[in-house]
Amino acid sequence: MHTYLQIIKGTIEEYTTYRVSFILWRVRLVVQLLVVYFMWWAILAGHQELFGYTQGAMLTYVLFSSFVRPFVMGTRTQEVGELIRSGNLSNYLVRPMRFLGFCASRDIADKLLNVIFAVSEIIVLYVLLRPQLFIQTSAVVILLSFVALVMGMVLFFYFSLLISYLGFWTPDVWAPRFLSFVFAEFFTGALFPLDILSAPLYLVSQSLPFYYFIYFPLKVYLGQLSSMAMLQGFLIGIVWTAGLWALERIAWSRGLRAYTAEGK
Amino acid sequence: MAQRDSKIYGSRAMKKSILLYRRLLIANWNALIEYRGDFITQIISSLVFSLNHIIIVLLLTSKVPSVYGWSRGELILLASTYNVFIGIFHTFISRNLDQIADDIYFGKLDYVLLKPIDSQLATVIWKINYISLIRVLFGLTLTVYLMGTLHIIITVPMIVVYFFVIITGVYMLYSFWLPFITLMIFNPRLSNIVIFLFNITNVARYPKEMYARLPLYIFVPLLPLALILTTPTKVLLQKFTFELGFLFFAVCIVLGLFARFIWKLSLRHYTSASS
Repeated sequence: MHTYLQIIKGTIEEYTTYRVSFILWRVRLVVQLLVVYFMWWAILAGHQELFGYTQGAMLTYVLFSSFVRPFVMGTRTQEVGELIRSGNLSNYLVRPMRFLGFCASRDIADKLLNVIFAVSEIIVLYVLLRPQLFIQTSAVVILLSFVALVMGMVLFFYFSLLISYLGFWTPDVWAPRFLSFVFAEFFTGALFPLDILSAPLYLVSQSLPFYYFIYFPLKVYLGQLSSMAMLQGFLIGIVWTAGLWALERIAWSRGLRAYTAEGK
Repeated sequence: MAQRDSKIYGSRAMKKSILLYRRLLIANWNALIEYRGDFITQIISSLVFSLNHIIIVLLLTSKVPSVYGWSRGELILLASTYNVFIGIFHTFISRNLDQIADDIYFGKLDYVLLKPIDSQLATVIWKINYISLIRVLFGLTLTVYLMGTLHIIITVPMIVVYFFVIITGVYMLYSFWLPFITLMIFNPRLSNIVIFLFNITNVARYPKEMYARLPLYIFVPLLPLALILTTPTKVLLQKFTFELGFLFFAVCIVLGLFARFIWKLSLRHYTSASS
């Protein structure tokens, strides 16, 4: 445990060493959020309700998605593909720790920093923009939202790792990662709530893991899901998590057999 | 006699430059097709990325007749112009600037600076990303189709002005990126500057009217980005006004001069120490 705590500490120190890079990263995220926020603000202008959302609910969705997104999708696992390709993975395999634990620790550090800064940025933006926000008061719903958030985080972790593991079999991990993220960007609900999609497309999105990254935790928080829909969502999410976990284990063991460390 | 010699020399130099650029074009093409699998996935990625933004605009405007004074058709035209614009920018500019950022980081900028051409020009001529031409073709095809649906007649002067404004916009965006990239000369650890610029460039996807509510201190730095697409799209929509044209070209000139000044100033501080 001490080892992994040290990895978390080391990763945080790594971020704080490159302070200007870190600030640029945060500015980038705030600008991204502002673009989506103003896009929705302009679309909703003059409408009491659109796509089944009031202005308050939609702007809450947009602002809170900027918190959920880094919490769920903030990761360092994209580095794994490069570690495999360059052969540097060998340096980690000989260390007295589990590689999965190493990746998880790096991700925890990433998410910790992300969340701290995301919360402060949202507070500043709230003070500046004064949007109507929907604040959930039910403790049960807040707890369920948190569980959904953790589920999304675990799902994304395995999803991202699996894409990086492609590096065991192909030198080009960039293109599949890029493609999967274009799809993910569309189907996570980061830009818009997925229920504004046409019914068949929405049904397809529900069966994909992306649905559980951002959209599902936010819908739970907004209290817009019936108990049945929530139960169904958690069940499908758990099945996906178990499936991706199993796939990750298989890919890792088969990948290690294919790994030749030829980069070094 | 001296005039004739200078003419001959000028024509030889021009021929040499064209030959050199032709070789660069071929070398870049060969590098692209070397890994076939990579080549195909890049084509698919480019197509998916082109479609993604169009689908999002279609979706978001499905229940509203207009947004910030732009009708649905006009917004899709803006999105298709974005594909033309960003395709050209990524084909000729962004990879080169990415490379310059790497060169500064590794202290290899000397190789670029020692070439017998203008140092600023040398920041953009080496790499050609042919794959991004797919976005240009996709954008142009969609633009022509949309012009038909919007019942706008395409004329030769319109095409000339449209491309002139697009190319000027590409120069404007290059001038916006360059000062940021040169920050690496002062702080080589800014390794994520290119990703930052890629993300900031997304501001250009939407009409400038969308940012009207932003505080002035945020709106002014983003103004060049907000103008680069709105202007050519307004050319197509025949809504290009003298005021918009003046603002567009004034911002372009100021930004171009600023980028040149910052580049020259930064080079004086370049030590190639990172290597």
